[in-house]
Amino acid sequence: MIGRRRSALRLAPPCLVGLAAMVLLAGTPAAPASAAGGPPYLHAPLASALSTPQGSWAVVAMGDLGQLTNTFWELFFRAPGGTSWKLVTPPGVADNGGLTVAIDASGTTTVGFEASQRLRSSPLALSSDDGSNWGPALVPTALAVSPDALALGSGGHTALALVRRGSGEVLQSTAQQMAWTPTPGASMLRDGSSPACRIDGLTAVALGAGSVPMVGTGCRRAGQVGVFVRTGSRWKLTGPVLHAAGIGATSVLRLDSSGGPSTALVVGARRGGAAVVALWLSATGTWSQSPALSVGAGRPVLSSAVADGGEQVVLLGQRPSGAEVETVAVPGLRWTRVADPPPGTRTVAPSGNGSIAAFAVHGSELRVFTLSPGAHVWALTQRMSVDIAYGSS
Amino acid sequence: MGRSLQSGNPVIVSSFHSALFHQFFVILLIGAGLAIAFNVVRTVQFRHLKAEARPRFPTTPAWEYTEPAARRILRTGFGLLWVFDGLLQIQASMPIGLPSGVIQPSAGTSPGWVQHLVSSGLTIWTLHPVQAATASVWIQIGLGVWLLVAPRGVWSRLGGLAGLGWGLVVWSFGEAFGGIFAPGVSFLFGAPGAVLLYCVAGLLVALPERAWATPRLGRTLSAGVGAFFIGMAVLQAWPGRGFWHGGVSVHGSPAGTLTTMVRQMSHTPQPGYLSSWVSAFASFDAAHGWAVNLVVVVVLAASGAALCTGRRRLMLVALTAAVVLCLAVWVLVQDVGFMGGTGTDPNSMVPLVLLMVAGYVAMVRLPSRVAVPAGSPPAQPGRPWWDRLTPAYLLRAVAASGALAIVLVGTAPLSLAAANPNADPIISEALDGTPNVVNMPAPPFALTDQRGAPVSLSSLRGRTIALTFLDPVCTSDCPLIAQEFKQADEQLGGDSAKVEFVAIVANPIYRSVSFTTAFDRQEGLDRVPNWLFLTGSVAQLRAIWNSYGVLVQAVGAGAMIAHSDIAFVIDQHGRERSVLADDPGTGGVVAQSFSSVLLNRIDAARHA
Repeated sequence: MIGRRRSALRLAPPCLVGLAAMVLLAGTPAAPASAAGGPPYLHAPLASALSTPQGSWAVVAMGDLGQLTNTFWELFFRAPGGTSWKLVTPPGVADNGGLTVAIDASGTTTVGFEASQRLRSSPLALSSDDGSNWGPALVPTALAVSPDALALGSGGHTALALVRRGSGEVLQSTAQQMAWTPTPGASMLRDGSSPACRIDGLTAVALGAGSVPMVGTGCRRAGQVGVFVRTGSRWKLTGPVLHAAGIGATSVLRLDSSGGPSTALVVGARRGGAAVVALWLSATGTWSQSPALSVGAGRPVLSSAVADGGEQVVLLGQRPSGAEVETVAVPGLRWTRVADPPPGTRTVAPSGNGSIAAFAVHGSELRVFTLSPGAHVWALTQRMSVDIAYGSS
Repeated sequence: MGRSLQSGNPVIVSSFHSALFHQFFVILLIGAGLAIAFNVVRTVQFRHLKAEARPRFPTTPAWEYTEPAARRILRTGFGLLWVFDGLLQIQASMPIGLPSGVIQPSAGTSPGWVQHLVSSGLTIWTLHPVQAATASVWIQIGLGVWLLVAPRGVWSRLGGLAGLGWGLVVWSFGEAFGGIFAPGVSFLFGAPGAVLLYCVAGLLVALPERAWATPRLGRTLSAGVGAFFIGMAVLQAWPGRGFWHGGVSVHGSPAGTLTTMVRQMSHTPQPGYLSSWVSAFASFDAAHGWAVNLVVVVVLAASGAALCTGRRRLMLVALTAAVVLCLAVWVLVQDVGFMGGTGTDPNSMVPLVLLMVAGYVAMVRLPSRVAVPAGSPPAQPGRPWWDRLTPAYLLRAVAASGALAIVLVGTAPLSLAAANPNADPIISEALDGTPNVVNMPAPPFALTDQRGAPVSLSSLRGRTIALTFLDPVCTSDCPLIAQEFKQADEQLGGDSAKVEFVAIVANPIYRSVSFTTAFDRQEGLDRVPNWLFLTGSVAQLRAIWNSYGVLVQAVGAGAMIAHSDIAFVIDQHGRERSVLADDPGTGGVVAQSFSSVLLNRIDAARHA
């Protein structure tokens, strides 16, 4: 009996070691913890639209949106005064990574293909006939993922490209040659430079009045809008400080001058979420600001459109209750929430005379709904089936 | 474009079965050789004995004591398990399906270092799937046969050690350490991995037989199992791991951990009766999850504690309860291990039962003295071998040698293949088909290279040409194909100066020199001296595409230009020698294997 008890005691240590190991193992969570939300810096969604006196352009993601290789970005054009949108996606390149559009004052359109999968450059397609015919060009480095990664100056003499080197680099070229070189003064746009802004990555490019190069950035300094203008070989911060209270770090979502005066759309960190502010640059060089539109943290802006020569900005936002459309215009400078968009809406665009178009996508079928000024109901105005080559890339 | 290799690919399956058949034939030959050797030795032995006027073979047993019963349970039990596992490896889906269907899911939730380790083993398997799959078959069958036919002595202990070694390889690379470093580890789901239990058994078989002469080894083994049970009971009872919930939603899943797992198992292909049992248990656990887990925790904890005490009666009761629990878990939770999905073994419950039983038997049944047959002369030290070698011993030694030969038949081809860093060409052929061997004049071309210089087929006369058609703004296949051409060039070494790697643009829009140079820079081909990326006018290109039978066309909006993935090998006299499909699939090893095929065809063209 004693012997048995002793043997049991001798065997106790391995039992205890095993027990301790299992207790340690038990502390391993059954499922990995979810990632933290992170700061509400928002990247501008590529689902975007641009309206100029020469016409309106909308970039819409179609296909199987859950799979990168079966998501195809399509480009639609509506002529001024026209009633329907036309599919004008440039052929010859897989556009699963997205499209970015730039238009100069003469109506020349340049479309940039975002690099995706194994392609690490960005082919361009140029059209001077509203997308009926396209010619090829190339940015030998991947364009930054931004709806304003390309800019064309008036007369098509100058072009800017924002590319994915480091936290963003600006290249410039003559629009005819498309031979890209780094823009002068690039070191002034590196992260952390400019004490007044404390740059946090480049987000957009534009060519303002007189083809003056402009760059939108993130700013770590609270409330400061990161818009820089190049004079000679120097970049000068011209973005204002936001009027709205409680805004932290900011980032320029859109920066556009293609329709006339420069327009910027800025997102700022705000306690518990973020806020979006639209800004317009007057001919005298002063910025007008819209009130701050509170949006949630995460990725609340799904699509943005700059319309009517930059005088109107349309946002498609995501709220817990569903998608919503907000619009703000220079006259009045107030955000107005309009009727909730139809299910499946991916892109919103100006549609002439103050009306708004919503592009609702269901696989390869596109439905265009239009909301007239003052109306409370979206009207189905166009339906088309797009030939999508699933599995082609 | 971007096709992937399916686990039932007929080329791979056929190659796998063919390799198995050939290796089986080799094993038969070895068996015949060993049978001849056995008879030769016996004949020589008989002649020696006859010369000494003693025409009878020795019959004195080699061992004073019988083989310990517990050791025999382990040896035969795990021998049969290894043979069964080897037979499971013959499934047609093993060469391609095992990495994606078994190994990667096992490692999927483990920490990064485990995944990294597993991935290094996976690389060998995915580069050489046929050799790896056949090696698994023969190694495991060989180990099983070895344990079964070599009951005693050095041969037997070596068999145990071999099982331990191979088991550790499988446990770490194939089972990702049985998932013990992953969240959600549980006794019910097979922790700590069936093969670790095979390793324990191998270690026990490899011990000197004197270790079994007292009950101590049995007590230690039982206590080890007991400690394991107690630890698993703690894990099972730990709150927040989803085992108490039954059908109630937990961690975002629609049901508790066990219910979810069993429901998944019930949906895998298996016999109807088994599926209905498993499905019924899933429903029962969904309704009574708390009670089910309580039973598991109590049985594990109580039987674990009892096994630690060393008291025989208590241990027998605990053993019975634990065996019942194990069998229930084996059928209702583990789906008898090999029924659901790509099964490679019967999972952990059967080997665990064998270890438990062996531990108990080692305590209660010690080896007994061997009865010496009447009239047998006592063994005489110093006598020649023919006077000591019994026929039974000789037969076992020959059989063990045969088992070792089976293991070697599996390991040798895999070792040779693993030394080759390139993927097996069978992978490329499985996806793209066998290259067509032709002998006809290659259609001429005269285009511009990436430096703006004119290049024609005649200007390349005297050099072997590997020719393909690439889209310089392609996002998927073309960069992979270009890398295969580059790799083939690197493998040519000093002979690369005699070969020209040529691509012709396959995009009617994005075709200027700026695109070909950008592509070369992107793929690192701008530093390859014998690489040419040719372009020309649309009319020139169309004429060449037509003459080579290459389809180039625009497809849906936003898609890349569709073009044939095809390559040609042209000899130094300008004659086409091979036509190869060069679809790289989804990349990785499927693509890698194309460079081997291309090299073979270049070599054939150079020596044609």
